[in-house]
Amino acid sequence: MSKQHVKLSVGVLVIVLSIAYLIFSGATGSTMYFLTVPEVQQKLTVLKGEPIRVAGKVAEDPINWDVRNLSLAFVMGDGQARIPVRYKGVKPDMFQAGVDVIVEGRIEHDGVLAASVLMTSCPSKYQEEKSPTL
Amino acid sequence: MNDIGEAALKFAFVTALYAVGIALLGVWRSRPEMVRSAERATYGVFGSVTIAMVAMLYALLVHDFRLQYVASVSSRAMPTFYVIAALWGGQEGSMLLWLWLLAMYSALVVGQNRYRNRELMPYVIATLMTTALLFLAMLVIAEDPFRQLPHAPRDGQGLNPLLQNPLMVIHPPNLYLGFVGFAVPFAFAIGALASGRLDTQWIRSIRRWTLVAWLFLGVGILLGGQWAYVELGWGGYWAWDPVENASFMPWLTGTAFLHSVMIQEKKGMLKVWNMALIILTYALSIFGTFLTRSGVISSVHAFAQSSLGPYFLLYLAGILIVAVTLLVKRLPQLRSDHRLESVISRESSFLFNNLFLVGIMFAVLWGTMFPIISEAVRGVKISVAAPFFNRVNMPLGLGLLLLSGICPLIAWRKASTRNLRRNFLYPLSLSFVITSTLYTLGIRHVVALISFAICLFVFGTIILEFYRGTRARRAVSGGTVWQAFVSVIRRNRRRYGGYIVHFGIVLIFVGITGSSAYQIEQNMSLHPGESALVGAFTLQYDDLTRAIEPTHETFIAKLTVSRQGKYLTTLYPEKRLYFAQNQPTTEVALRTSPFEDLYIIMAGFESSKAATFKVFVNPLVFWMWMGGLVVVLGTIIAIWPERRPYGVGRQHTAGQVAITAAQGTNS
Repeated sequence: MSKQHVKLSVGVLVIVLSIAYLIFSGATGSTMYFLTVPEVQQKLTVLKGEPIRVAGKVAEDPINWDVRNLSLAFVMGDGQARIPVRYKGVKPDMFQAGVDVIVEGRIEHDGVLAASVLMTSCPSKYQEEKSPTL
Repeated sequence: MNDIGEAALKFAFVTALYAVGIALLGVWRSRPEMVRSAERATYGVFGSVTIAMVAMLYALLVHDFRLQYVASVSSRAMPTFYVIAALWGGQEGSMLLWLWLLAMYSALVVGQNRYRNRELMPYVIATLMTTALLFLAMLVIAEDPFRQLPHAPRDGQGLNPLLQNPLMVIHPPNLYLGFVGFAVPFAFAIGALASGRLDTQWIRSIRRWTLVAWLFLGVGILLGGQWAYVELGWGGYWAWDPVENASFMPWLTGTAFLHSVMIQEKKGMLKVWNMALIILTYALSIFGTFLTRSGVISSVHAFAQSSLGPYFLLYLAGILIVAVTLLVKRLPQLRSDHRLESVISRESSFLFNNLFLVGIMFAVLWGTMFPIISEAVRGVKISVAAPFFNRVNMPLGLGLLLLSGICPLIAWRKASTRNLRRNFLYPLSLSFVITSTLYTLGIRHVVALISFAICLFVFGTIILEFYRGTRARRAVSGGTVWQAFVSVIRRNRRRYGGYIVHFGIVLIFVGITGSSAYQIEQNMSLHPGESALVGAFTLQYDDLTRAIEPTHETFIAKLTVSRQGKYLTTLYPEKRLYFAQNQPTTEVALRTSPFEDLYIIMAGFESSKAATFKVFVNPLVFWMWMGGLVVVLGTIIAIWPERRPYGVGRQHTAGQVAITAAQGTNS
């Protein structure tokens, strides 16, 4: 290999390594457990304060929507496994009892999941009608 | 009509199967008439899929609710425009549209290559028709669009109100045209590998196809972002959702391919890399479809938990095995004609550009697949949030943008200090002066400053190139500056079209930077008559009114917007309730200007008419959509057929382009 090739290989290597470093260092800071409602209830004490992402259904009651303060309180899960959720923000259009939601947040000392992100999807009808966004 | 549609799909299935078989048999036995028969079969597939499309369209238009599909995506009250769009409003219809576009592309390719690329064509047809078979198999076996209900309902459920937006009508076909479009370059790559005709001929044949696919995919992505922005009401346009990522990844590798393929055309280098890129791009297109159509990864888009997963995986594994095997077999014939001579040269800057693009793709893939990877490896599902994507892709994106300024101006083979000074002194000075001014004006966001500095530098290099080209042209042929300017672009559409595309990308970066660094977000609860201050805007809430429309009931708030006591506009955010779906929707009120967007949604209201609003001020978003238009313009210029000079063949012109391009930077 000529001198130029060594230089070029070093250049390529530096770029590849920095990209790899960015990916791995970036991943460590922003990962969170992706759990279902029963899983959260099992490990409640361990998870306290950890960032988590939870998928589940919105329970029938109680849903409290305080328009003035943009604060939404509801229960996720059905049957035995239930967790209370508190969300600050605008109630999504598709949000109602029975829909599937994904929330991101932390479980606080009072045992309530304080969510910073709330995403909805409606499996029964959305599925048939949902956009072909691909 | 429905029976005809169903029969047409079955006929297309058999015909596509025949086309694949007879095309391969034709090569094996060296029988050209068999390949001709495969070509006719390809037209046949296009014809019969078209009949199926027409049958479906007819069923939608006459509201034939016996069909489950029609009943689930349309209703009598929907305007005709959206009834037609409902054709791609659901799973089965989307796949039918996809298939139809593929069949159309295939027929075009066959027609275009009646007398060209004859050695490649059997393999091209076999590859394209195998893809058609995948979709036909899914439509005939798993997701029959003509499935009938036992009892026809009196009215359909209607299209989801969120999708009843003109942007959502044109967004999916654009994406499909892009995704499906990459099947053509892939098919030619397979053709070149299988037939051993590995010279640059196949690359020249697919240049336009690749650009067209790339353009549609990019436009599709941007339209999707714009739809999310104006319809979903969370104030943003991109959330790194798996579905968005699925469309972004092939765009990235496609962009890398468009660039590195120039090195192969002009220097005969990077041949294996280019093959790998086009295979990867196509595989990512199919993989993206798999992600969104199988429900493997949970996404807010919540796609069907359908039975389609195995079909896609089988096909994906199949094409990868075939493509990689062929590639390995041909490795000895894919050796480079030249070697890289210097780290600071155009060749190596293209290589770095490719590394960045593939790096971003890998980061996006990694983040998207993380839950699945972690579950497989550690047994727990771990997901990564949007900050990961931003943190990783921001430096990579900026690096890439910087390269887009450096690449076109750096000399081939080995750049001298003189070449660097000559080309970069002015753009760097421009960038430095304006960025310093921005700093003194109070812009202190570090990343935003870096981003604007790079945007200005790239802008400077583009201006310099246009200036030099125009001046040189004028020195040769005289005329006005404008004539010389137009003539320069006309004589070298590829190069200057490319610069215009780069300019569009710069504008998109300006939009992204402004809206992510300086977004203002504020909630406010007001009674009628009260007002509040958001950024520089004063919003006065005047009144709330109720109205009944044919498909929905709506509550409209009236807000008067002023700035420093001067009236600007009146905005009307709405909350609607669609009767058929019993679904509320939030209609965004938007005031766009080149400086910033004022974006208001009504979160809710009480019986006292007291309402709560969420207000965003998104600076510079306007330039993102403008950038998109500029990219379209640049790509069209690059695609537009060059007029051949008298008596000079095609090959020669391409050679001249390379020479002038090289001279432009060496002189």
